[in-house]
Amino acid sequence: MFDLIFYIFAFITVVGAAVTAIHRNIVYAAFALLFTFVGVAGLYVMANADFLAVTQMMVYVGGILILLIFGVMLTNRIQSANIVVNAGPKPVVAILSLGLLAILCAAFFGPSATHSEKSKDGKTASVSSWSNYTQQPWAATQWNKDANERILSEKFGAPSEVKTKEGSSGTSVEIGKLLLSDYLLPFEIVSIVLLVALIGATMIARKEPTLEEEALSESLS
Amino acid sequence: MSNYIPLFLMLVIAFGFGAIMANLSKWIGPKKPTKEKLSTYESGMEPIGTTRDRISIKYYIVAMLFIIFDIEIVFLYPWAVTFDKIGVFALGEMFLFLALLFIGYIYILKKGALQWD
Repeated sequence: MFDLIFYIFAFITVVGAAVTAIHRNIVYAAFALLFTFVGVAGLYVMANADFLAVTQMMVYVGGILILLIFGVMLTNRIQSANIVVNAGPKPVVAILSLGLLAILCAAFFGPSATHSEKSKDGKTASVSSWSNYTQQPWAATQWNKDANERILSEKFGAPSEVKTKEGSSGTSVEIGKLLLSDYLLPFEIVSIVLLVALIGATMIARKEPTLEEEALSESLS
Repeated sequence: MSNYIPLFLMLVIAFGFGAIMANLSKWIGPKKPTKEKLSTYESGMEPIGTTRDRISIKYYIVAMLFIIFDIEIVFLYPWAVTFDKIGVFALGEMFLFLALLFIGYIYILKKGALQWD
């Protein structure tokens, strides 16, 4: 069941990304990106990162994508835009992409990809992360979640308090606790960064009205 | 994981319902097209120009400012589920966080970035 759902989300993500990359009409490419973002949000849920999934939905699907589509709609001559990706001579591109593929394959199948996992009877089994993903896509992150819960229970005492009631509040509680205690400074710096972004966006995107225009609008009002 | 199944079902139903309803009239409706029927329905008015027209840059500013406050809201979530456990300290932290963004909000208001002139 979970395998099926995982592959559905993976399929949506990959197909959306492929359409985004391949489609000649930039409007359709931008809309195809919507499916990629939703699919990635689904994959985050499969990886027990529900807070990240919500963030993905809110910021990327609800915000960034709208901005992208606005950006597309602002563009002149959308229909006739001739999108030509010129990345360089074909042999060089081929070698680079094959090299990237080789690196990814090495990361998945190579010896460093295996990590030891202690099974219940005490035996240490070496499991390749790739086989882990193919058997249970979400299981590899379950290991991380358990480790995180252990760290959090050491930090905040009783594990029953930290351990969420079977996903009722998910990771948000843990993230909130860490954000308001250990990572307080980054949290407050985020607000300063957002403030800078706010002012910067206003400064750059808004055309300052000239003195004549200002006088005109004042006389009108 | 299992408590995401309702969410997933809702996603499937939403996609399915949308896809089926959008195509149902196409599948089962009779088709006797005339010139008027084929033209875009626009409350009896003749459609002017293309739908893929350029839009004003002002939308872009609003969208950009929206994203910034959107990110602020994202940070409110983890705070909202934990602040009762941490107490007044967390409340003060969030007030500082919001105050800094409120300064920015005052700035863009005074700058007139939200004005539609």
